[in-house]
Amino acid sequence: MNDERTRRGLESLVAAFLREHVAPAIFERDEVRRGLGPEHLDRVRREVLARLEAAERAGAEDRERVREMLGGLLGAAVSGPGGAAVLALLRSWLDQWSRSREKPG
Amino acid sequence: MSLQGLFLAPWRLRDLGRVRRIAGVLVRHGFADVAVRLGWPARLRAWTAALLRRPPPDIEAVPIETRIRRVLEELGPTFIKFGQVLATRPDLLPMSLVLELKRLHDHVTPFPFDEVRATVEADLRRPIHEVFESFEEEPIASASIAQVHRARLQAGVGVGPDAPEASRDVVVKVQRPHLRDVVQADLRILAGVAALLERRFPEVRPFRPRALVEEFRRSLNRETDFLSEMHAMVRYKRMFADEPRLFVPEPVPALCTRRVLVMEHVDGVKVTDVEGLRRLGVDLGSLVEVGMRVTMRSIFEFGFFHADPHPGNFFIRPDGTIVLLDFGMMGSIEPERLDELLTYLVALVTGDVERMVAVLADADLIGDDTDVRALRGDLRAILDRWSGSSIGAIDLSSFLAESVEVARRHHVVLPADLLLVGKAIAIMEGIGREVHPEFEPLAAVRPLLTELYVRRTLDARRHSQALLRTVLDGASLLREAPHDLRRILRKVRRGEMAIQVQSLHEEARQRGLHARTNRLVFGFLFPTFFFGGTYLIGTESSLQNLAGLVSFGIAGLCFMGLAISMLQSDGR
Ligand SMILES: Nc1ncnc2c1ncn2[C@@H]1O[C@H](COP(=O)(O)OP(=O)(O)OP(=O)(O)O)[C@@H](O)[C@H]1O
Ligand SMILES: [Mg+2]
Repeated sequence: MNDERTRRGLESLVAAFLREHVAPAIFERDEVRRGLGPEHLDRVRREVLARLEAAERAGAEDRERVREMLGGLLGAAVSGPGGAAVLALLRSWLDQWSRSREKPG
Repeated sequence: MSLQGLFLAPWRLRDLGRVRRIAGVLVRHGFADVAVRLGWPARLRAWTAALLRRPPPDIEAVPIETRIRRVLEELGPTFIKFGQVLATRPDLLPMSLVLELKRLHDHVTPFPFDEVRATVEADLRRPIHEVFESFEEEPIASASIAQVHRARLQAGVGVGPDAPEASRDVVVKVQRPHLRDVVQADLRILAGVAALLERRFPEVRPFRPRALVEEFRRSLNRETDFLSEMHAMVRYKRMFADEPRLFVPEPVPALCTRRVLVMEHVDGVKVTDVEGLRRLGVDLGSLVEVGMRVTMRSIFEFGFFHADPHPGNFFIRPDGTIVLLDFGMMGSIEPERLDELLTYLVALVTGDVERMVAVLADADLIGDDTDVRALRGDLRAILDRWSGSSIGAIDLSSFLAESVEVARRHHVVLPADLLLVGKAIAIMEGIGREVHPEFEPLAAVRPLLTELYVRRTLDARRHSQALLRTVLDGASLLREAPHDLRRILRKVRRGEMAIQVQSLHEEARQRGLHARTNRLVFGFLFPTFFFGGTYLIGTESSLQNLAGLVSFGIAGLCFMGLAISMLQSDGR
């Protein structure tokens, strides 16, 4: 469950999140702009985004494994009806979330 | 309470010989009164008194700072090193003493070659000429812990899978004979003195002498183990594989032991030799820039840095590469602390007082009795004053020192690793200014720090590894600790999860929750804290971000895990 492909899948999910939700806010920050100056900021932004995109692509096919892993782990940890319900919820949530990630565009 | 109270010092029997020698050195340098009062055994006192009758001529004419330095030098490695550590504490000692202590590493007499041979042959279990084609008897350097000799390896020696193409021209760093034994005894004695001081003199307790000695003990133990130095070299070399202008000599692992370190020989000009550097014709500005970049990256990217970057440990080669030597004293910082420190420093160098205070609060460094508004005001005052001067004039180390001073005044407890980091940066700054007078430390450091901060925050690998650890830990622990988790979840639900992390920590500690639960709580909440923290502080749309965060699953998983255990028990 801790193999290279799972790691890549997870990294791909994380990279997508960072690129979409975190990066824009970071590069908008006052102190980041002040600290880097426009040219340096541009260079860092390009490099960082390229890295994130590469990580996203590298693990795109392995995302499914991550979902399985998380499901499996939680399943193992949970016994009893309450747990199963939450697990189902979690699964559907993970599905939804990753589908929304994979939308083209 | 009088110093006589120390008379009953509980020296261990086996250390008595060493204690007596220490007393002898004290007496010879005009500190007989100290020797007597520190409670040496009676026999010794008689002996001391005998010596006192013929006090050393003119000893009183020598300034006391100088005499202190000489005592430390004569007492050997442990005390020399301790003096060097004290030299980094201008917050504790008078400046005149600090300056004198800074000269400590200069003069040490080399030990004879016979001892060098004995150590090398004992550790490598072979006659020296079987390993080395030649071995210069005269050391190229001799210091408190070791001395360094040039040598040439026999063909084929030391070559292995680890070192396929090691150069045969090497240097051999050999530890002083019996060093570890002497150091151990000295450390016991130092610890004894510290314990006595702390017990009998409440007024020295704030300096935490015992903790100071303990910290010192740990770092010295590492420094006297050359295998740990070898590993540090290898690690550093790997860290900076992408930095073409930094060079770390390659050790020869097959020939390294705790007392013998063999590495490739490197030619170069000492960084302090400004004339020599000019002759090389290297661009001094870019040299300093590389040095600063490496220092900052080692601290803030890797959390593993050279804690003893004195100028003697830098060589410059004709092509402008920096050679870094002497990995005996390394500092390391926990990743969590690194996030705080980096965020804090970015705020400092970009003049963001709100953020500075927020970081201190999140790291739980602000005491209950701190007047946060006054703290904010004082920090702002420093920043305003600095922003008035031209950027080149700003002295990074005083800048840091002043903000530390403000923190201290407001009962903000700063962690020890911060001081090490401060020292490393200050030394680098000093070297920079000496080598290249036009060097503008703040202007150089600001973009470096900001870039490191951005890269760290947006490092997918780091976050996913942390997340994986969290999940793995969490899943296996979920079943075991539902009760505590439930309590914690209730708190989390009540609000402000990121902000509450520290108080949860506190509560967990007070309730004596066992270590695994603690790890679980922090494993779970740390990523939340980090992401949440970087958001909650300072951005307007923090709620929105937080929502994104929860949907991401770091926080989400924490919640799910906690919710599961809750549901289970609520249904019971
Ligand atoms: N690989 C090397 N090539 C050439 N010279 C070296 C090499 N390693 C060490 N030296 C020389 O030996 C000196 C001392 O080495 P090092 O700093 O590792 O020993 P040390 O015992 O820790 O000394 P100190 O306590 O003064 O720092 C260096 O300043 C340098 O002049
Ligand atoms: Mg050195």
